Amino acid sequence: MKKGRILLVEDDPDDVLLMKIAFKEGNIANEIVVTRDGVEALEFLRGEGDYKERDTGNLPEVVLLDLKMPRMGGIEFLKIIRQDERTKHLPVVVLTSSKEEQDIMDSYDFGANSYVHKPVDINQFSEAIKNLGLYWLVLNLLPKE
Amino acid sequence: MKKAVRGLTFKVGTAIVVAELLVLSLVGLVYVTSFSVEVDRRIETQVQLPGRLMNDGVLALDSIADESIMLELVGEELLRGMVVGLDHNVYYSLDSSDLGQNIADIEDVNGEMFSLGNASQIMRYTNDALECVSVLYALDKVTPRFFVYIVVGTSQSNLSKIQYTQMFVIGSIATFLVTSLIISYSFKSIILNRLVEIVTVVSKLQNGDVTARIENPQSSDELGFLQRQVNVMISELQKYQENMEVIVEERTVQLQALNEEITAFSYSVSHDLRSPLRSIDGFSKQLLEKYSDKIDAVGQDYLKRVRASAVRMGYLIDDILMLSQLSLTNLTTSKVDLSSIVRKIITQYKLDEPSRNVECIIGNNLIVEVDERLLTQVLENLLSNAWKFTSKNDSAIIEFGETERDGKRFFYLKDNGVGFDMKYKDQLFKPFHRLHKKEDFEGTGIGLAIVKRIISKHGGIVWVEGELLKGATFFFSLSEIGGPDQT
Repeated sequence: MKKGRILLVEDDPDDVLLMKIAFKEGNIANEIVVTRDGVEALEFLRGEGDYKERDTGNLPEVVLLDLKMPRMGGIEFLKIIRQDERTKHLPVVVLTSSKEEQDIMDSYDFGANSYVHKPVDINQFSEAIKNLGLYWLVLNLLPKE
Repeated sequence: MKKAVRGLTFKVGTAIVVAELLVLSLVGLVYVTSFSVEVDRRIETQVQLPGRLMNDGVLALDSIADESIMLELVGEELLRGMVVGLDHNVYYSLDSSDLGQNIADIEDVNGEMFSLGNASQIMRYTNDALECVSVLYALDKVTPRFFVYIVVGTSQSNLSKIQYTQMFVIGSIATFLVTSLIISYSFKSIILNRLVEIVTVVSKLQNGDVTARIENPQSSDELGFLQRQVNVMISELQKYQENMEVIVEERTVQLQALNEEITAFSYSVSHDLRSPLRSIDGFSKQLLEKYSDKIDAVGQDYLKRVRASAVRMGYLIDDILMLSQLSLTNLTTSKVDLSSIVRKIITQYKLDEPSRNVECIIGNNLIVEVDERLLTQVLENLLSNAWKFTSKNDSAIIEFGETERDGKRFFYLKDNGVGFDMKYKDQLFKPFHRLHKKEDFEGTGIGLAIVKRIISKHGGIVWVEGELLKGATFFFSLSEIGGPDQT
């Protein structure tokens, strides 16, 4: 398993906690960085604001992105990072409660690598999170930057 | 439209021509006849004149030989004049060579005319002359003494008759042409042009131009009235149309606002209502797993109920969202094999619950032109019911096929499950109506409402027949191209 970090962009603290539990149950030990919206996630990636001290050369292994968030939503965030040379290949998995077709279309249109619906049933949710970690942190290969 | 008006010109023109011809022919006949009668009478008067004058004693018998007097009396066309005795001998004559001869010996004289019959005067027309024999009486006016024989040429009067007729015909043609011109011109300017105006404006109106008007309909006649009425009518129409446009625009704005509200509502439900449920389920599970030693059996049962409710609420939200969004969904139709969809769904059910013993009878090649995604939803909802309500059967049978009723094609899904009481059949398709206890069978109560709405969207109908404990059969039709009910 790769050692890279997981960048979680999620404004609901409950969901953050449940995801952490799910990762733990799935024996995924990678560091999870939690940002509360698109703006904070961008600051993390660019080493701005609270993340001034960060080494920006070290990109996360995968971004788990919610869509509906304050200040900057997931779609807006996607548009911005896909235009940036450094982050245009960053794997982004949209992870949201919505099953709206419009949301799915928009996500792929603006460069999401995957779209996963968060089930209400916690068993299914945990399963989905574990599979996600397995796929993106073990199976998936990234281009050499 | 223009053709109709041209047709009118032809019809009115024909009527005018026929009428004119009829009138002119009648008038011509009367005039020509009376003229020729007049000519004949004049010449007859002239030919009788010498005889009458002689009987009156005004003219001497020998004057018949005096050419100047005779020409004066009878006219230029005098051909013969003689006084003949009762013995048929010529006593006096214009042509002295006839004197003394018997009329029988003179060429061209008809002796039969010289007889003392009832008439004192006999006239006879020949080819180009008029002969007249008058009896001359003695002073007692009773005793016949002589005949006066006068012949006048008629070629002149015949010629004048022909000329008169010719003149009349030429005059008639001229009159006919002039009146036709005047009538057609005035018909054109007084009626036709104004009719064409009306036709033009009405044609424009027909093409949706409500600003078209007939210009200056000032005339006070019936056509002027009609033109003004047409204008008034179009104005009313224009007002009505503008009014309609305003109403339609208002309604459209309202509808759009409503649609946006529904979309915003769905979006918000989609995003915001599911997360808290996941937290409820997730943290209840954590409590059950991590703190089971601190919670007694009753507490754990409560937590399980909390979890079950949270998950159920999740399904409810899914179904409500689907039901509300169906109104906004447009049909995307293609040829769809319902048999293969049913087979796939059943296969999945059997994989999920391999312990169930269910016999499935699925008709082949049930192909229809429908929205595949929506019809799959219908079949999933119906099949999950059938699967669910046969779960307490030892040997369940689920049958899908097609049938015909009143010439219409219907599909049916039949199961031998718990069935239902037919008196509740109408409640089945209403949202949130359930006929079974939650403890017995799971479900949101929205599945059949979704089925009904999708079938309606396809212009079909759905109904159910069943009996308690004996199973249920759902029937549905599809108009295949989307029916009148697009809601």
